Amino acid sequence: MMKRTIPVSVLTLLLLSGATWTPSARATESAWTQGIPWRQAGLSEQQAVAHLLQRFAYGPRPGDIDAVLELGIGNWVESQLAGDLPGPVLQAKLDQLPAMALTPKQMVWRYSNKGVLVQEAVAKGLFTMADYTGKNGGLRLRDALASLDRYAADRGMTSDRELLAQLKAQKVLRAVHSEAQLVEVLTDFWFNHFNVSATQPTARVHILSYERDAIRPRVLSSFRELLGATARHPAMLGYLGNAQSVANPEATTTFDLEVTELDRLSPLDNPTLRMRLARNLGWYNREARLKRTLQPRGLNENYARELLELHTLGVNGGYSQRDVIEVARAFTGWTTFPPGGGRAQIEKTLVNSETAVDMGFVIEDEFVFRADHHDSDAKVVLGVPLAAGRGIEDGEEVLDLVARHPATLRHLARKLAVRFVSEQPPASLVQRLVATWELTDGDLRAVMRTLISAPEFWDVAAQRSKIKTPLELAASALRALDADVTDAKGVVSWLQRMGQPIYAFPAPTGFPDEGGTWTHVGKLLARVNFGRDLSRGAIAGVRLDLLAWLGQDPLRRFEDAVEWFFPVLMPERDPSLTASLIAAGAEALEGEQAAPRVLSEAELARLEPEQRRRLAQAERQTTVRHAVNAVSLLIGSPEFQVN
Amino acid sequence: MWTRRAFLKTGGLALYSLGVEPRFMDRLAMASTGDTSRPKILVSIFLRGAMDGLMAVPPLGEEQALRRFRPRLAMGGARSEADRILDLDGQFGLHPAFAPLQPYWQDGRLAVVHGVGSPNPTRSHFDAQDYMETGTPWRKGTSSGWLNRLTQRVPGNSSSFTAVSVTPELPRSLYGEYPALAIPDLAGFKLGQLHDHLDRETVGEHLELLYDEGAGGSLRQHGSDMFEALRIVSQREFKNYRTRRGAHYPTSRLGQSLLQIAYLIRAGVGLRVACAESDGWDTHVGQGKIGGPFAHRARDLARSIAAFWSDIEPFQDDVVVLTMTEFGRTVRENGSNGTDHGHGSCLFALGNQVDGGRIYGNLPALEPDALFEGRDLPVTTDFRAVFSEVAGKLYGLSDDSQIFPGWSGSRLPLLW
Repeated sequence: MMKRTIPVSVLTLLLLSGATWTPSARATESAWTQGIPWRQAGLSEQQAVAHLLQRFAYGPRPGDIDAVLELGIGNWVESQLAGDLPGPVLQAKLDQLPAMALTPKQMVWRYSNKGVLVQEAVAKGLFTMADYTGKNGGLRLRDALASLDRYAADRGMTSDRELLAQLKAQKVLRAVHSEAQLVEVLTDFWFNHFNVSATQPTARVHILSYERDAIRPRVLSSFRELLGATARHPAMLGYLGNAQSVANPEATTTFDLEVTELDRLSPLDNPTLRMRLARNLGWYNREARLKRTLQPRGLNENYARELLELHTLGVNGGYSQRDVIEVARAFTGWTTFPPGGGRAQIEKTLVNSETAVDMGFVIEDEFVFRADHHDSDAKVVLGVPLAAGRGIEDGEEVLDLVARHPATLRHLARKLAVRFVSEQPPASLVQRLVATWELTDGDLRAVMRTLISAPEFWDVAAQRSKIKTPLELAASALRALDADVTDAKGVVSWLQRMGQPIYAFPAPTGFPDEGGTWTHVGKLLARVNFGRDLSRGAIAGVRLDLLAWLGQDPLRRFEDAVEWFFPVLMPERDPSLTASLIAAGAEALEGEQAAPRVLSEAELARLEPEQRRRLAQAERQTTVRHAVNAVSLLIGSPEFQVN
Repeated sequence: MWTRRAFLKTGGLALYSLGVEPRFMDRLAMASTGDTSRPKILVSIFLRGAMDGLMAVPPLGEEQALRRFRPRLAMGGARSEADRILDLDGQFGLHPAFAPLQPYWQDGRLAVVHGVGSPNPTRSHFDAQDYMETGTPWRKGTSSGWLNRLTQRVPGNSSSFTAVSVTPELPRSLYGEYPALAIPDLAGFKLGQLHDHLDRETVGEHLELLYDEGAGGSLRQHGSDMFEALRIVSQREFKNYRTRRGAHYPTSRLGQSLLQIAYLIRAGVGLRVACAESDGWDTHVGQGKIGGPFAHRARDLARSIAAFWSDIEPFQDDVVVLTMTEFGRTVRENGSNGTDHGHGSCLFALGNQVDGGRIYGNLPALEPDALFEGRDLPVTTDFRAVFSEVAGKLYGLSDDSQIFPGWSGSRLPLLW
């Protein structure tokens, strides 16, 4: 039985009154502060903020903890939940990435692959396929290649590798430099939940838009909206093959229904237009129809299966193979524009065509609902009958059903609890999240409030219990040291070496959220070596000034440097274990050689100026060397691997 | 309680010179040949891009049909002995670029399975590789790869080097619960440089101490595994690795991967499952016959395998090399002197345990009616029938459903 705790009811009140955060809403701060049970967990206020910033941000930057305390923990959370925080530093960096400003269509146009380009050039009559493949001799081939180059240049086309590089770069830049940290952390979570992979060629060109347009704007909206946006996005449609899923030949399509009505239409309904539309889609062209039967047709169940198994109900969510097929039927016709020449044909026929709308076609940015591919026969999904004769409503109704299914609530509440609290989350926490989800119909902002105010999140068992992902490791180190990422390529390549090829996890499951998978031998070694390269300034595109961290006093011993940098990298953590082990280790290593003797004032006074200068220089060199070694060690240390 | 003595004992990359044997050293692997209880090693080579099985191992009796379907790609009319298709068994030939493999055929340890592939007819490289590597041709969502599931069940899989892919990234087939290792280059498998060697030692030794005494759970274990793995690699200095006489590896990526796999086998680090790959088999344009991209790839593959095989001579009884490719290519040539995405292809299996010198599987007559969708070699052997046979026999595993869930077919008898 769920026990309603104070925080939940406070949240409910907030929610029902429609209160959102405004800078003047200090009144809510006291409610929040009282509602957030960090004191009960035995934390100091500073420790509480550090814990919060490690899980719901990519770690604290210098001064962040004080700033949050100044603002109030609850106000900080609300400002993060509001989402749209200005970030001039980040914006200046994103402005360097031209793809970020392109529309999805522009991206498809600009970054399409070479095969598509050749098809287009042939369709435009610039050369023939035979010219291009050299069948008509070397001279024609040379001309074809030259005109292909001209065409690519005219079109402003660039390789899709460049697009991917910018996509990866922006993720790192946002993690390190965004003010809206919670949005970035959630975008990472939900992207991984609705994973698509750049390893799949047809999805590749759409991934930037997928994250930017479908996911990031909805991580604090309702789950149903987020789910719907992923379902319609060409990245998902391409990745899980729904774009190719077409009604089985024996099914009646939505379009068939409309066409059979043609006879009954009055001239005002303009049957000619309908006929033209049908012809353009290749439906009344005998040749095209014959060709159609040669192409692989019929259902593609992949999206349907992953929708149930991964995105919503979960693997033991109580659905059957029959449900998978029925869901696949409901999503037939949910597709996108074909690449290359085929696109123009579809656009010409369907875009801005009232007839098309009238016949059930839907075009929305890159999403296309093809009434002529949709199986309009009756279906039964999870025991709920879907009437015959419908179009896009079938898929939408399935999304409604699965978004609110009890198994979905349990599955996602647990997944969130694992991501943000602990790998073995207490059942009470999962129940708490399910309760809020139910109460708010999947309002993700309300769910996050419950999560942050849950005693289980603050519990001592949850603290320092999660292994950082490689992105968390890199971003938290860069943030703690106040590093400036001017070009993210170097960091991106380190993420891959640490076992997190961002945007390229090859399965729809996304990266597993199990700490142990990030630290096995090769990956742990890469983490340690990342720390080394970062500390010695050897990561391209990262500006880091360790000297700025040094005080007046030289660091004469390695252990002094470790002690100095521990709170820089891990503020509010207890340094005693690390410090004592390092001290003991140093003693053992150095043996009888004690720390270098420090000259007294009197001894210093007796030195020549040149000797003094050289002594200072030597001390400085030793200090820097110890600093580099200490930062390297600390980033690689077990303590820094967890948050 | 921590003592200086304990530190000297546990800490220190410098201490490998004391000759402390790592716990998972394969002492058995160092034993003399001929011992059937010695640990077995599977070397998987993925040929990415879809190898043209008809060009690799052409049916000799179908010369006329081949000339009809692919006039510019059909072999024959060789100008010299070196250009001639090698006769395997009177019925099938071997593309001359594979000549370095012919001796293994002749002494019966190289087998070919023809008409092999996936029951899923997809012609997408991505999907087909995915299905083959997960081992579930109809399921996209399978999160683990078949080699990972296999490794979980391989006896004596306790080394950090049990499953290694010598590739920049872990292949899909090794993704999963078992912690497999991707090593792009063994020379880079070490603690990175700081200012000098002394700094590396200092930081390395303190770090080992922190993991040993200041970490718990999986972190402590992984820290200890990492330092042990580092010791093993540095102890058996890869940079001084001497290949056996006669093992001339190509400088290609595949050649260098196999060289490193041979090193790991000879170093006795507990390797059981190894992956390498070769790409560029997607020969749509100008596939060529004796020269060109196909022959280039084929020559590289054959030379790399031959070098590997002679390099691991004392371990030949323990190793099986298996090639695989996502699908085959069209029987007809296309307009660009190449071939397009097809269905069935062929694969090679090499090992002393392989019942070789034989062609397995079925190839129908090359007539449009007998072809898959009128254009491709049909798949007459499910790839899982081969993979399960090799993996099952090699490691003595009987339950194929653990490695290939949802598959109820039977193994193709291929190994002794």
